[in-house]
Amino acid sequence: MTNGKKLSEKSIGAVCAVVSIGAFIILWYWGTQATQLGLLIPGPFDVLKAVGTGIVGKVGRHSILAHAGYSLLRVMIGFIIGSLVGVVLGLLMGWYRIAEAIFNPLFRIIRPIPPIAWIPISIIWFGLGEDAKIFLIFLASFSNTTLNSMAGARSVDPEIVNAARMLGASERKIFTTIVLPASVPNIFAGLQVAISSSWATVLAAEMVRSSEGLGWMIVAGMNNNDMIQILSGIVMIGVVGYILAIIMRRAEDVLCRWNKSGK
Amino acid sequence: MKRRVALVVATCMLAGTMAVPVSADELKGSGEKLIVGTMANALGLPVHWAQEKGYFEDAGLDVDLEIFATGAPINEAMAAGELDVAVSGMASIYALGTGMYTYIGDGVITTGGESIYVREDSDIAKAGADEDGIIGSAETLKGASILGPLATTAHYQAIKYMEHFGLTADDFSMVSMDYPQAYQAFVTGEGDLVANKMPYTNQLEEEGYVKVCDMNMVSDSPIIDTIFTQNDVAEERKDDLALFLECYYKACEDIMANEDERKEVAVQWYADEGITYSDSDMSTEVAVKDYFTRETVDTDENPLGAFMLNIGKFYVDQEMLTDDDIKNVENSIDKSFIETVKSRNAES
Repeated sequence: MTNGKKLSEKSIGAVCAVVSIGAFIILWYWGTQATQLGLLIPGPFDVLKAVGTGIVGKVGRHSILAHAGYSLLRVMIGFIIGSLVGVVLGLLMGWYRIAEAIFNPLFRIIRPIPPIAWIPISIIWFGLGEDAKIFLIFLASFSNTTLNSMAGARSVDPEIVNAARMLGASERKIFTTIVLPASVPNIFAGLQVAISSSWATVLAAEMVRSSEGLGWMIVAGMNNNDMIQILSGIVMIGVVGYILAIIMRRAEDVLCRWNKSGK
Repeated sequence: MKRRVALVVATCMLAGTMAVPVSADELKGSGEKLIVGTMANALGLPVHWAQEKGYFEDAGLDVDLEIFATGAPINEAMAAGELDVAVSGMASIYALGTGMYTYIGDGVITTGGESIYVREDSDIAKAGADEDGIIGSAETLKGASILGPLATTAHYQAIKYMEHFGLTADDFSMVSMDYPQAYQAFVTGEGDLVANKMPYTNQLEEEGYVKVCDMNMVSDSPIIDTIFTQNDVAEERKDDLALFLECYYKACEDIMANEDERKEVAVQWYADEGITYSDSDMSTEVAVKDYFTRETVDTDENPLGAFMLNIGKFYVDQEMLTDDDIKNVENSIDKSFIETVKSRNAES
């Protein structure tokens, strides 16, 4: 693909993004001005103004950016730990039958449980501090990366593996030089979903006693029917989530260039 | 020989402590951290006030305040042993029903602000008020749907409201949803009535909905919240708990005596905890939330824990609790801490 074509595709993408977000804001504005929706929720400009005020001033004890920072820190710690454990476990389960026999039944039981359901148990196990919140985010990240890593390890072309065996490669060598690299695209797909899931879990995580964070902002707003605060929190979660997804995509583009260029 | 001497010394020490009982005015804070869970609303205000004014520090207590959004996570944190004391609302009944905790004090008194609303053009509103000022009639209410959370004071109030017109829980349907969702569903046209609490009742009022009753019109007693502690804390840290209660009720007395300062401190604290209160919200809170003092807590008219037991029976009727749970609630009530506080107050 030529550079000109790439640039043109990027421009079209950017225009489409602006148009779709703009259309959503116009629809939201129209809904609050022309229908009963206005009785329940504030318009987009009130919310954007509140976000701006929250960036300069404070919501609770911190600015909105500081709240985003607290949430981001929790998410990144949970995501990194969850992803590391998930990738290792997923690869092991995907490649070694015995690992799959031991861990897969338990994993399948844990996987469908929503993070919010873990709140009481997380408090009992980890208390009221950061550990409980990180644990909930860990779970969100862990499930997605485990599943994709397992799928990645299973999808390795058996002909390549057999050829390596025929050439005398040890099982360890096959795992590290064939299975692991071949699983990277799947692992990244899992990480992509995991970062979004982890970020989406921030609300549940901050429902465990908290006095800062974007999830806390929403919970505090709910207790007081402060729709502007709730929507400010939602908007910030959406924006930060979008930025994280872009960063992950860029990281994948760079780290898996070999995979993309082969297509 | 050494062992005998040690035994004699220990016996003398034990006899000494038994001979001179600890008098009420000899309470001493241990300085050990006392972790208190509460909410950033009128319920927790006295705890925050006592901390801000340095009452806990003066009493030799090291109180750590943990703020929760609702009573349910406070119960979870108590069950996990993460809190020593809970200053909480109606959800406490579930915790107290387990027998793991000791009821040591009565909290904030809610005399209003928990109300039921209908639409202005509904038949229920048109039925008008009776001699007690309660709006509605048996004919218009039969088969009605009320939005609000099940097994809470909202549900309790709905049943009492219906009973006022000779109806039972079978004559109406309680559509269970949490307070914010009940408010939103009602204003978008769902349900015939909504049973809600502040700040939603303020908003319903401002939006022109008709209040058919509030809690004190249909209930024999106001809502009284709870102060409870872990059983082992009640056993091992009696002085700390008595001092905590003393500071708490001292703060209540301050709050009741200084309305302007109460408003200022509360609004600032709520804002710090992410809860925006308007002047009107705060004025309503002052009007409907009272506090016990060291003199008014645990009297013949208002014995400690009476409201919790009363509402506990309602929970049994609703099959949310068993008779055994209520026995646990009854057994959990320990007046000794309040008695210490009151006797120290009388002495001073």
